[in-house]
Amino acid sequence: MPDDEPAGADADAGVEEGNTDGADRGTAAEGLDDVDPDQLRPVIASGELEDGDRVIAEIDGREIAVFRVNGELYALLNYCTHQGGPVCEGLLSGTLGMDEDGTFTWDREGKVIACPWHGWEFDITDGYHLASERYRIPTYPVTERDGQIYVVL
Amino acid sequence: MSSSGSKTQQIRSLSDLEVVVDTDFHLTERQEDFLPYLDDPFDSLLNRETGGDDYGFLSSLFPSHGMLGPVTIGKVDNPPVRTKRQVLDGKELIEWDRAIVTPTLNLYLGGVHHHELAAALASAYNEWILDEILDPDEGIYGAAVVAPQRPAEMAEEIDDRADEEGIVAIMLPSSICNPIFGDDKYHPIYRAAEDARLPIMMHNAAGATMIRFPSQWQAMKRQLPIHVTAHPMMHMVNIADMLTQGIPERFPDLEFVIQESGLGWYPYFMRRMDHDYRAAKYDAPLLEKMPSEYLADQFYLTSQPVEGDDDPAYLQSVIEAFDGQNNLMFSSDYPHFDFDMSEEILKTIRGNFEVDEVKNIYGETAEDLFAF
Repeated sequence: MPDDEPAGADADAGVEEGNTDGADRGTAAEGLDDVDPDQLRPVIASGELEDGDRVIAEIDGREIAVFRVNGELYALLNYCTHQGGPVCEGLLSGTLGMDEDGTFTWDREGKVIACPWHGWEFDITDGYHLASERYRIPTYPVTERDGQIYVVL
Repeated sequence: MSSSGSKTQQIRSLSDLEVVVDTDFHLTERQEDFLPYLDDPFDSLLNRETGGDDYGFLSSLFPSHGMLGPVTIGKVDNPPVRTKRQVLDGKELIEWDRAIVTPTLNLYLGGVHHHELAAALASAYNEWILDEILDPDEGIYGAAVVAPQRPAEMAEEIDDRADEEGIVAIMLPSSICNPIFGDDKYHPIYRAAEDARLPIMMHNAAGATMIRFPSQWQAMKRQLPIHVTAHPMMHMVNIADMLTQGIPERFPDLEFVIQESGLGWYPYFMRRMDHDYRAAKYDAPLLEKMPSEYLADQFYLTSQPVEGDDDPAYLQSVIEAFDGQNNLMFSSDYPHFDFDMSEEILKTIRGNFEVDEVKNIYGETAEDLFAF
């Protein structure tokens, strides 16, 4: 991934903003090119976050997790909107779906985080609970430049 | 301002409470934790280093359900609670002052096939928690487990444990019993607990509740318990499965009318389905919206037998809790023995609902649904 191409989430536009306490959906990749440098918060050196790994950092008083999955970066608050569990410390895997023939499928591998307290599943690409858009983990724009990963606050 | 209102305002957080008691804080005991506490002959029989090939079965003496729950598949990763230290870790998280520790594996005790062994396992578990877990100085209290298979022996167990420091209740694993708990067979347990002034905690094991159900039904020797439980319970079983299998999603233009089960279970069931579904979306992949939304859109409830018809506040809250103004339809059940007269709801609800809402319940909703 080029250093100047930020890896935001690719959620569909038009979905209403949830109650995300100031978080951004991270959808507008182009929006990160001219981000105010004062908003960049260093998280980890690029080389220290392998594909499939995550890092949880305390940034401005918030625990924020950054995941690298299939070359893309995603940043979410490590706080479950259900009962406050450390959602980003849970199992990162996929989830069961079903195709039109009624056959189980394994979907979204590497993009579903399950809160270790109660198992609520969220899509790390947009923070939304898999079952209900009423629930969402705040997400943050994340960018990688000059060998360093930053989230934007 | 009411006195209750001012009381509520004084309590803003847990720290404003003088005491917090957690009445169901589970251990996640494994056989290996309490098998060493078995008495003979089972100690000599089972606690051996070598000999025998159990084909893997005896790795769990308790019946296994094999369900793919969120812990099983790793979606939930809560820490084990098998030592006092781990209990205290949980105390810190939940913030209780006192807790009654309850078992997990031993909730399945009623399903242990060997009855004498089941009694011995109960005693071993109790010895284990007394020796390694309970500590009233730390607020850790416990419920002594009894095996429903052997009431006479368990009465002795209750007598033996009642005066032990930290034992404050009896745990009667309640889902895999046979016969069910009204039977004379259980009187020794009840008598012993009553004499010891220890309340009996009843806790089901979800994964095994249905194992004995045909025989449990057979054991209900009278009409009253069957009639009270059968209708709402069977509806819950069927509708929970229909929702999980996506029936309303597969047949989006189909509507269902749920009959003869009373009212109060229904708003409970809607919320309970949503509550569990939020943690188990993977189990019902066809659903596109919350279970309660399918119920609101495609299911209707008929009214008889109306429970609480002498309690207007109850009926109002229950009906509103499932939008009965739009989903509830009057029914009489005439001429069955428990039929409701036409005014049975009306006289109770007419003061609490709008005219149009009462009209809906008594006919307008049915007029729309059935397209006469």
